[in-house]
Amino acid sequence: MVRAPVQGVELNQRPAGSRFASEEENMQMMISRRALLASAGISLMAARLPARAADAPIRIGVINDLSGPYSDIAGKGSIEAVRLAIEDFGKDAPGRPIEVLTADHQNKTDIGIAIAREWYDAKGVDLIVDVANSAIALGIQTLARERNKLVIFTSAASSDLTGKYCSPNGLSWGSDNWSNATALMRLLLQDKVDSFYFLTSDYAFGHSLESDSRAAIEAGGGKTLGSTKVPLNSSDFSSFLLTAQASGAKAVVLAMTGNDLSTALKQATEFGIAPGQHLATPNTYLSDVHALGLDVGKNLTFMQSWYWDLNDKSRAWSKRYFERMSRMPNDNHAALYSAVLHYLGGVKTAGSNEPAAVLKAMRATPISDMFAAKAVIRDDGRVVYDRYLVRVKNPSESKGPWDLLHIVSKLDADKAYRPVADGGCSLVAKK
Amino acid sequence: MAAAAAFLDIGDLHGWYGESHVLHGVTMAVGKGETIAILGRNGAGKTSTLRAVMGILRKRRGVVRLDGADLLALPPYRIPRMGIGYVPEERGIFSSLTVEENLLLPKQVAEQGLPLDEIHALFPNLHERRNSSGTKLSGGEQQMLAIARILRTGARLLLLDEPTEGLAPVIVQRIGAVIGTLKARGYTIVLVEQNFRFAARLADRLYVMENGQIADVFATSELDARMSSLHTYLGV
Amino acid sequence: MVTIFGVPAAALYGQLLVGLINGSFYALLSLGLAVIFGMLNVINVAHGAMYMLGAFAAWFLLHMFGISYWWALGLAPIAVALVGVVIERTTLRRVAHLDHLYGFLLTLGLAMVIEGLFRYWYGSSGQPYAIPSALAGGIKLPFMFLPIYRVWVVVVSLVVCLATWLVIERTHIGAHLRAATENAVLSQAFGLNVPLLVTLTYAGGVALAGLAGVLAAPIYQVSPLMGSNLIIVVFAVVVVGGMGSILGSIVTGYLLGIVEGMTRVYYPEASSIVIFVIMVVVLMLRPAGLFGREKDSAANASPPIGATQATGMDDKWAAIGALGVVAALIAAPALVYPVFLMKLMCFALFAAAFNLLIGFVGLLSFGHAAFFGSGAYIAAYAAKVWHLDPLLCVLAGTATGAVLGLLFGALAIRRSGIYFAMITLALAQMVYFIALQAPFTGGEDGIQDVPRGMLFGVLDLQHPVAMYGFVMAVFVVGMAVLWRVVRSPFGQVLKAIRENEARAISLGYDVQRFKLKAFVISAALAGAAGGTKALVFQLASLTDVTWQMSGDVVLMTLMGGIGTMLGPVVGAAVVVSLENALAGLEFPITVLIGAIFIACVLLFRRGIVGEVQQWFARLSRVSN
Repeated sequence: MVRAPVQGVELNQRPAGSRFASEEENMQMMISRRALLASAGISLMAARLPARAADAPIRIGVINDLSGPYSDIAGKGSIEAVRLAIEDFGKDAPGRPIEVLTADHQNKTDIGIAIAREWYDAKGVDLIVDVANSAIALGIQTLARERNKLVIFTSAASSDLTGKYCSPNGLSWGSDNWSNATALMRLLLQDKVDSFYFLTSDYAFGHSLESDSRAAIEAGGGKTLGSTKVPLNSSDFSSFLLTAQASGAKAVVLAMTGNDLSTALKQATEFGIAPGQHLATPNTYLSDVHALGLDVGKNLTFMQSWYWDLNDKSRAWSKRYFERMSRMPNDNHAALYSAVLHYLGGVKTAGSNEPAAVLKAMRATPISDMFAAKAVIRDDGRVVYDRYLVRVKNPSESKGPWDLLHIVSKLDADKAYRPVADGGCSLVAKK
Repeated sequence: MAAAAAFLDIGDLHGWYGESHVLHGVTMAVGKGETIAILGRNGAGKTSTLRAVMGILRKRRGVVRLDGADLLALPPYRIPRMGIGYVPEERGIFSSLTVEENLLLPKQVAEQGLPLDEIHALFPNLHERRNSSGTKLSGGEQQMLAIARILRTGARLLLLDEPTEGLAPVIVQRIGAVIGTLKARGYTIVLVEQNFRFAARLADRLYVMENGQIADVFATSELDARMSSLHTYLGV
Repeated sequence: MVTIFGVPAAALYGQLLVGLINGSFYALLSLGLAVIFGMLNVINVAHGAMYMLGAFAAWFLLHMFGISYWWALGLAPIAVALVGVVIERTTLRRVAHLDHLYGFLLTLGLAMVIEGLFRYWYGSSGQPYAIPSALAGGIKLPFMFLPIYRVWVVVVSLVVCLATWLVIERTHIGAHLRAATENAVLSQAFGLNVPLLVTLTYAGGVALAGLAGVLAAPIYQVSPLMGSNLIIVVFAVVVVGGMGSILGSIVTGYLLGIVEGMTRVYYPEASSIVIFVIMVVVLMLRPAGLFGREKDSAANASPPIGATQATGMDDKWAAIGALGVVAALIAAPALVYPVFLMKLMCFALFAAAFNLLIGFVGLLSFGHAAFFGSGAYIAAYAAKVWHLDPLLCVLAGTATGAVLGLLFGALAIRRSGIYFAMITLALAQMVYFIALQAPFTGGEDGIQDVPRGMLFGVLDLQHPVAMYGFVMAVFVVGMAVLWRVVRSPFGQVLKAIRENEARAISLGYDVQRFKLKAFVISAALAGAAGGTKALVFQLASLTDVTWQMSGDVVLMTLMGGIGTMLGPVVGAAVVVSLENALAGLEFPITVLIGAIFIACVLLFRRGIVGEVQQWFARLSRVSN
């Protein structure tokens, strides 16, 4: 068997501005499509043995936002994380060729779904990962189930993916809104912060984050005074911030992420929101903090699944990542690495690409790697592990450009994620 | 006929508005200090000739020389700077400028330009109304403004396109007097007119245009003799 | 607590102040735009890109050379002005003698190229730029904490606007500018160096945008997209203020900022459309804008857009062309991806519908995506929720287009040229924002999983051959309708209106009714194309109603040949194929498409089909 280095075959489909991503319809077309594909010059690893099902390449598709407001959260870093996983996997157990396809969905639902459809139907993609957009994620969740393929989310935060929209073909490996929101709200309530105003990104992710947060607030005896829906990619939040300020709520929750979050925080500082009001940012990534700078971001608290400076293993891996990206990885990058590594292990163990078999193998094998000491795949598709409450350092505490977070405490896996019975997932056996 | 070299020399000038061929080889010569008038009925090509000289009519072919300098080769905005003052048919007063701004608009091209106080003395109305918008003036006053404006520049060749059109006889007289004064001061004047009696009082020679060409040319002294043919040309 | 209409007074004052601050940007930007429009008669679509360049210049100066904000305030606008000089001299000058809509399209292409390049180099996320320390912090007012920097912005913009107004209205050079704006030809006859004035005006106008960019850098994100988010609003401000009026754009800029602020307090969902609503109302009551003066349209004697096509050969050519296209469509699925072909047909029909207006009536509609997208949404909804027969769904889309066309048309038809384009753009933006907010459209998610249905209850359109046949039928019928319209006496009148509207009126034709009918037909067919597309892709989304989509269809038609029957089909084929072929490249497509746009406007105004027709006409002339 020949070694399987990563194929540099990145069919980088970046149909920028193109609502014209082509779309495959059914099996009939697949054959001629494969012919087209072959002639389009996709280099498959030269196999010594004639291609049989067992030697057919494993194709992993990484789809996310490569050029928009979320391009630093997942973006190119996700592609590197996947490559690292494939390299590490190949190191231990040589096997089938593995190909990576990448695409930029530009946060446009129709483009994202069209690409995913084509990948599953025509390009032989077995697994789609990352996604970085909850609306698109929901669409791909349906597609994966219909086409009997797999999808693993590491940067799509809607907790509905393991709740009412759960699927036997989809796993959530990265954090989700319930986890991010609930822990943070509970913390604030503990500190007697009991009234809240929301500024929410106006689409699936934001709505989901807001509803999860509100549930936690109510459960904890707090009150939501109001909420304003903010369009994606806004440049000016001043009016919204003023409204939040005028509400008199003790905390302003910024239910947004990426660029929007950085801008809103920057302007919140400008308008003196804090210290009069608490700024809560449930869905925050390391890259956001870095973009903000410690002057603006200091003392923010939020949940993280992992941090590059957590332990020796994480530091070692992050060093490798840094050499390629010149940035430190976010926790979702590490989650993606872990997910792909484990998936490949599952394929090897199962001896096939077939989703049910692979998932069975993945569930049977314990997950323990650089990302999580112990992680478990639940029935609803949620992967659970211990999480950490972090606080952004003061400028004086930081000794380097990426020395940004201070680990405050650890939250056990069973408390960090929504209880499996509460999500409304139909796959969960009623006990 | 003056045998001296022409101050303004136009030779076989053809001109087009788009596809429309309006000037079919105009030839005329104006000596320095001469006053000539171009007569003809509507559409004969009189205004087009002046526009061709000024570069407003862009598509041209032929010869146009001022004191030997080739005007056709110049970009339109340089032509006035050669010392030509143009008073267009529509007077060309800018409504977005005040009277004073209209007056001061064209650049000074020579030192012989009339100083401002002399102009104000010659045209007292303009001084009074200097801060109103240019088009708030009466027709006659606008005409005065149009003439005053180019006097300030020091241009020695004046192209006047129908300066009396639509004006009351009293104003026409005044304008006639002004032009007479200019003539006495040695300006070279090309006057386009439908009112040939007005033109005859001022001009040394008369050109008659028809269908984009010069149909006839004669000294003013010969006017009476040419009266009937003139009437034919003018369609009176 | 004092409340005004239910809102605490404190909140209101705060929002008013914020509105004033936003208004400062609107005023500065629309001032530059108005100055440029006054002189060049071009709506500078690239203005947003210039604003962005100013911000990037400031960022660049700081991060590469350590040059502070204070220097950037002067240097960045100068840099942007230099870019403006280059643009005016090399491109705008060449189309100055043509229909002014070409200038509009040219600057659109420029905007695409510039923004695309920056997006490629810097990504869409913002670059950080700090507020200069001298301006940091704020003043504690009873109703809000007022950041000092924002006060600075208001002060600077007021000063600059006032200074610009003074220069234009009260100085000698200003007199030159005003004269050249009023009558460029005559001004030259008085010795004014008008070409230089034009260049300086353009440079000055974009310098103002660049200054606005520097002011924006510390508070908004320095990102390649910052301009395109603002530019449509600025257009609306300029139109409301009066397109050549300096005072109008300044006053309206501040006013609209405040109105927007108020709307955010009482009815936040409407805050994005309020400006467009105002624009529509103002245009109906005072067509020249609040402070504007009707520009003498006779002063521009250039041939109307689309009038340069060789006619004569049309009949024979059209017949050959039509047969060729149909034959190709029947044969093609064996070689080319059927779904791709279906997409092509939808866009070809869309472009052909658009072409009816611009090619045969001489009206550039910059909001056709509204009809296309609405047709898509209604058809999708009809299929998914009402489970209608696919033919009925497409017809529903067509009807939607027609109704919207009637609405838009009634408002826009009275105007022509650039005003018409602006009104259609504004109306289309309103449709976009409604689509964003309305619950049935699914907002950012769109309407997904649209079933294709069973045609007449028997033919399952999930089957690719059936679907292909259906789409082809729609396409052929649509094109046939257009053909009939163009060839009919009705079509002849339309052409007469395009050539010389005044003459047509004098001949006794009710020109407005003819134009309106044409508009409705065009909109209806665009709706049909959109509805069909929704069924092909089983999806209707926001992209279908964006102004970029409107721009796309303009490009297709321009590239193919405005005013020809085959042109839009060819243009759509080329553009769609290009976008597909280029999708795999790293290099952004917007840049390439923008460059092609520019090339078409500068060099290939006749478009592919137009050039071919011209070539054949010349050949036959030679052989005769």
